[in-house]
Amino acid sequence: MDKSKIYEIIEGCKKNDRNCQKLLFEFYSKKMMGVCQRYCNNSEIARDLVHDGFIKVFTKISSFKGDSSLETWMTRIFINTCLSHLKKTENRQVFMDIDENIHSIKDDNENKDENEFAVMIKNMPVSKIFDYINSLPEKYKIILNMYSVDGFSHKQISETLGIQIGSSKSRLSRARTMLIDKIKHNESKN
Amino acid sequence: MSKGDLNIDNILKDRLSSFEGKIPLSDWNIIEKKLNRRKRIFIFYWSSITLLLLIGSFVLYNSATKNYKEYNLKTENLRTFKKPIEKNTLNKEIENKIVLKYPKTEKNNKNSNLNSIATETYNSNEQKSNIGIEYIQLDLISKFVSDLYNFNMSSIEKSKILNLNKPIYNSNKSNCKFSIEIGVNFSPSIGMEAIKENAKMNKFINHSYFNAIAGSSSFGNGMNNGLNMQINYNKKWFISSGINFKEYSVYHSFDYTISEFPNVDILQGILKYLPKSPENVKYEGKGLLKFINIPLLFGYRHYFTPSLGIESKTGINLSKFSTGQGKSVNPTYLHLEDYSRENIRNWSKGYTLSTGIFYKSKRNFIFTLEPNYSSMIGSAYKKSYPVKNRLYNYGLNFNINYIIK
Repeated sequence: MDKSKIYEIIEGCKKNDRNCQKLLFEFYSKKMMGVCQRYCNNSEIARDLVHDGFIKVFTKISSFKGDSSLETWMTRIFINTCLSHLKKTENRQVFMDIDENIHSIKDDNENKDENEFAVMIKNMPVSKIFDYINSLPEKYKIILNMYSVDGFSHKQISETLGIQIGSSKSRLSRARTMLIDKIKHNESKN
Repeated sequence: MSKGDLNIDNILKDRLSSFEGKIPLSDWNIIEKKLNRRKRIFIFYWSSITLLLLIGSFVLYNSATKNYKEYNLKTENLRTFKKPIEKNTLNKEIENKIVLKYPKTEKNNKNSNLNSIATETYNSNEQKSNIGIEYIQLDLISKFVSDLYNFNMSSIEKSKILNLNKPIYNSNKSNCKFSIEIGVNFSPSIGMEAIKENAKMNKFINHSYFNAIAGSSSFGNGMNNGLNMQINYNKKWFISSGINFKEYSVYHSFDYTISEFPNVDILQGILKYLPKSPENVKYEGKGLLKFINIPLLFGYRHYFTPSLGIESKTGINLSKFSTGQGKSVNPTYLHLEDYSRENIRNWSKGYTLSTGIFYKSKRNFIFTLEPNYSSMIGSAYKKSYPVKNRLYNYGLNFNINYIIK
């Protein structure tokens, strides 16, 4: 979709034009469903979160100034919606600092592992990578998604989740290790 | 950060940032429905506030104009100034000025009359200083008192003129009083319901159809009629209770085809989906729940004039389920079922908020008109039901009470 068309849609959404809102939904719904599914294992709950997220987008779109791209802005809203949902449900461990200060000391072997792993996932189908990440425990999966995929810094993660920066770093390190182990284990079986 | 980190993060970002999930485009209808509902709530909420503000401003403006006219009429010979006078010096100054200006009065029999007049004026002034409004200049008070005294008036007329100050200074010395009111109330409202999963029973919900179930309800209506009894303290604070007959209703429209039938274990939840021929669930109708409601409200009345003012009240209520009509969908088995004592709580708690205007007639009737909001605190369904259903409504409460004591 070209920029002028997106601009028209945004302006329409700001005026509460249902047709423009529908167009925006049709254009971004799949991508945002992908975001919600990355943060939430249950696809039905993810679907609900997409609904809630779009309602938030439509009510807050008047505050969108165009400093970042619409997609980035929307993604942040959907991530926040997912995190709010996780906060409400039983996944409170995501937002708690429990013994996370195990600083990762990487040796050459680990780096070697990661390089091998990088080559491995480069050729893997996206749905498979998605499944592997989803199989991680919630608190590691969230950090991996926020840092590696959505480009949050550790400071931003610590502020959003209310955890220490050290915890964020160690969880990320642990998430990577677990992901590598899982993929290696399963791929060697196959 | 190591090179390996960069590789992993970059590759994950490349592969997953463009990841798309599957979502039917028909979901737009659910979002549109929710948006429309929000819009209607927004309109209702703001129109209620605007109406209340308009009525409040009108009442305030009228009472202020009326008080101003009364004040001018009653104190046409008095000038006012805003400098506060210390209470201790006030009495002496009044006494000195009265004695200096009218020395003969002490010798005459008129002494007692003048003293009583001066004391009354002082009392009024003291009350004014207590409530912090304007103070009357002392020499003018004494002049006014003496003028009154020198007029050939009966003591009743004099006291009438002097008493004119009383309503302005709010010198109502009545002690704390209790009064009792009884009456009736009618409260039509817009009814709504919020359907959510019961997290504890999550494994019993057939999620493939949950959106169709949760999104099935639209606006309904409600009604709350009953009898009130109210105990007032000092005419302003009150506790109110009574018995009400409360209805919540919501229009349901279910229309979907089940293609996955769950095999449910009563202890473990949904185990697997059994292959069966598709079945259509279609129903359109009103779900109506009736309760007997006992409120316990606490409130405050503010009088702008002796007959008009605003009142606010809030409190809790206890509702006993009476009857249910219409159908709902069981989110586990996906079949339509009646509202019944099997799934609805026998007793539910709720809360109410309302603010509005009241008018007190000369015959001790009090008419109240107030927008109100009432909601259940928990779910109308029992804890063991897979869905939580919180009912709430926005209404307009109309009360007629009679002060019996």
